[in-house]
Amino acid sequence: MSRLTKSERIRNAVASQAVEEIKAIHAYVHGNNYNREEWDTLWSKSDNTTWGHAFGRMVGPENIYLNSVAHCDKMACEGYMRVCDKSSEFWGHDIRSSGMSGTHALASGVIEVAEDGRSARSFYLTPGGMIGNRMRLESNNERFGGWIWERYGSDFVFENGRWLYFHEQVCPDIDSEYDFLNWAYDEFKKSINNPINDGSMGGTPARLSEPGAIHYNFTCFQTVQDTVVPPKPYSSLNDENSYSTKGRNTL
Amino acid sequence: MELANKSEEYLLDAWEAQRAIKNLMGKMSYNYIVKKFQEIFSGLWSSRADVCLGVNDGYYNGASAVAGYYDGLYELNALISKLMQKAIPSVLEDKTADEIYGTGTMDYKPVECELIEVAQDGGTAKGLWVLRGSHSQLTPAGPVGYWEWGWFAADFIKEDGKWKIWHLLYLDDVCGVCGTDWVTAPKDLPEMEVFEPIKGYKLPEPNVPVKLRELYSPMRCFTPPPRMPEPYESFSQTFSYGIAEGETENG
Amino acid sequence: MAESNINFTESELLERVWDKEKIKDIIYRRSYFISANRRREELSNLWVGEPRHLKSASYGNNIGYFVGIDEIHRHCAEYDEILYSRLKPYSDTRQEIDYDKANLGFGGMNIFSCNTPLVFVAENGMTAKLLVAQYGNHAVGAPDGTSEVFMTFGLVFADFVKEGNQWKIWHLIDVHDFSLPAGKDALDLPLRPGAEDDPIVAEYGTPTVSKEVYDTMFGWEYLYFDMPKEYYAYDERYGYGPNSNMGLKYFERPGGTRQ
Repeated sequence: MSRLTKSERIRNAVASQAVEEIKAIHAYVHGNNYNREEWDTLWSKSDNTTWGHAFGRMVGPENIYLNSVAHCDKMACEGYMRVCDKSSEFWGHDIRSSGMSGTHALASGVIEVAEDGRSARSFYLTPGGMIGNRMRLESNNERFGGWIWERYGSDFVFENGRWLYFHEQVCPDIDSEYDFLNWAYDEFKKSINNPINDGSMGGTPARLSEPGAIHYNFTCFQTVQDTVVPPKPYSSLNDENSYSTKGRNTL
Repeated sequence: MELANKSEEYLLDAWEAQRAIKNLMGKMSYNYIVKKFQEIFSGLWSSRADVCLGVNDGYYNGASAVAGYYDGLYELNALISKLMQKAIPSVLEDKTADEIYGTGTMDYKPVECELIEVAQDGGTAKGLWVLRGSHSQLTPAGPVGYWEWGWFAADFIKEDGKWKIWHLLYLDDVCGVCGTDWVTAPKDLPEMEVFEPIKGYKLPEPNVPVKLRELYSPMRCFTPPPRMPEPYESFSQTFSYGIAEGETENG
Repeated sequence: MAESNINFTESELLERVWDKEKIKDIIYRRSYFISANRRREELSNLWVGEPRHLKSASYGNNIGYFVGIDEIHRHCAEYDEILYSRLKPYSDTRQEIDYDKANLGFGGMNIFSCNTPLVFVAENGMTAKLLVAQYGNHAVGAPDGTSEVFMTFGLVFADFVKEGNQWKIWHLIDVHDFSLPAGKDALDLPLRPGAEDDPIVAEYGTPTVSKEVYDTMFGWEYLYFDMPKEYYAYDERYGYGPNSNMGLKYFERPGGTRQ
């Protein structure tokens, strides 16, 4: 029997679906390079907002925006220029989104809404495909048919009448190309004589608030990493129930 | 689910039930990645004696058989870690068996496309998911990556206020080596002496051997997905994803 | 932007919560019907049935729309012909395999799976819009023991309408991005694969209305404008039927890319 009132249960059901909605909007908007449309509308502007990846953590909206919008927009523009050199068909098309079509598809979602209704947490797997003609054309045919599979741990807050992203921790595990490679055997052959894991899967940021590996991609010598544990039912967001670090769990 | 003319209390109970079931399956996916197989059985399965796990080659019928299957996965992964420790001593040789447990392979089992029906009486539920995964297996040549496409179909039962797996079908259509056409036998890779012991390991066999599903091949009859759940009042009025009536340990 | 929900009572919110779950259930159920080659049952179970919606129902793919439920049924028949053509090499060479409806799909596999759902129910509660990513595999076998296996990628956009207290698919577009062959380098694919390179392209059929709904060359260029968002009531320009903005360039859309 739930401890919550009927109103609270309805509130939390709506919140749970808001989490699904935010995660989905992120997947599609990120997939077509519309980064500012994501970060301007889906994210809290609190100084305690964090975005972590394998390579470290961005803290606060300015650092997150620098990496996730400005840096990515720069790369998108440079990529578009290279594509236009290779294919005049792209002239006049959208600088950011033309030729994009990869998704960090979402699966295996675990969502919990706090009893106080002010935060929510989610765990997802993302068995996504990073494919698109832009990637194919822009960089000498590299990474056209790539894929990268990751784990997500995310926290959300209810702020000014809307649900917003608050923290995200991305944990890339495996990647390869479609479909002439074998990700496990290729990695093993690389590692057997030279077992080095620099944890750099998934990209390089511009400037980080907190550089340093948070999660290493899978290698055959990497011990199990329990970086993002699915959320359990909880009362309120705090240092024990968070995908960020201590002291960053209030708005 | 049939929801017309139901009270708000009923609607909330049913919504929370299907969310809890989605969370349960998400946790199962997570446990595969972090190799917590025994926690899958102890944490997610019902304590009933008549639990049942069906795989392509038969059923693990009864609690002892299902537990044995997950124990087998645990032992297999312990062996893999030990062999990997021998193969890459420079990184792993100083670590204990507990520290290296789970090292060597990765198993992503993302579940999506869920259909969930909660019984009108609220005591059981049924669900069907697509499994769109990739994992590595340790072969005598080293770890090799596979694509895995299949289905999870489950009956759930409510015990002490928590949803648990009662019967589970885990059926594969594809377990194809990455970088191959999935139907031609992959070329032999050079074996390594350090991995010789993996040849001798076999998971426990189903205690009710029966062909539940063939892997895809060009000579396979068309094989549709498992039966979809439909709205139902109580479990006696619906079909089971467990062992079929008449099928016994004697086959 | 995520939905604001400020205009609803608690009872309405609960109803809308279940509206979204039912709509996801329908699109996922569609995947299982399609994967089971039960396309006609998909139509009769999940699509509109009231006479006022039958003529305006539409199914779209990259090259156009089948408009009206009868035309969508015609597309099912086109697909059956493809299945028969794939059965023929088997029945011609293997005595035990009859050229019969019961053997359609022999040696084949066709899993369509959906994920990443984005659903908005109109504020007036009468329609809904959905987007899902569709990942699948597609195999066509041959009696010599070979098979052409692909991993497929696309999106599904759909309008739903309420008939009585049931949600039904009204307009749906299967957007197809790629079919990547298993075991081969994706870079070897032509930039715009034709039917000979891509089995999904071979299944497009002959739409009632030919229109470039989606050009794989440019991918999701208009996805941000076409994806579902909060809305008050159905407007065919912003839906997913044949008179929608789908496929139109920005300068062809009334009001540009604003909604």
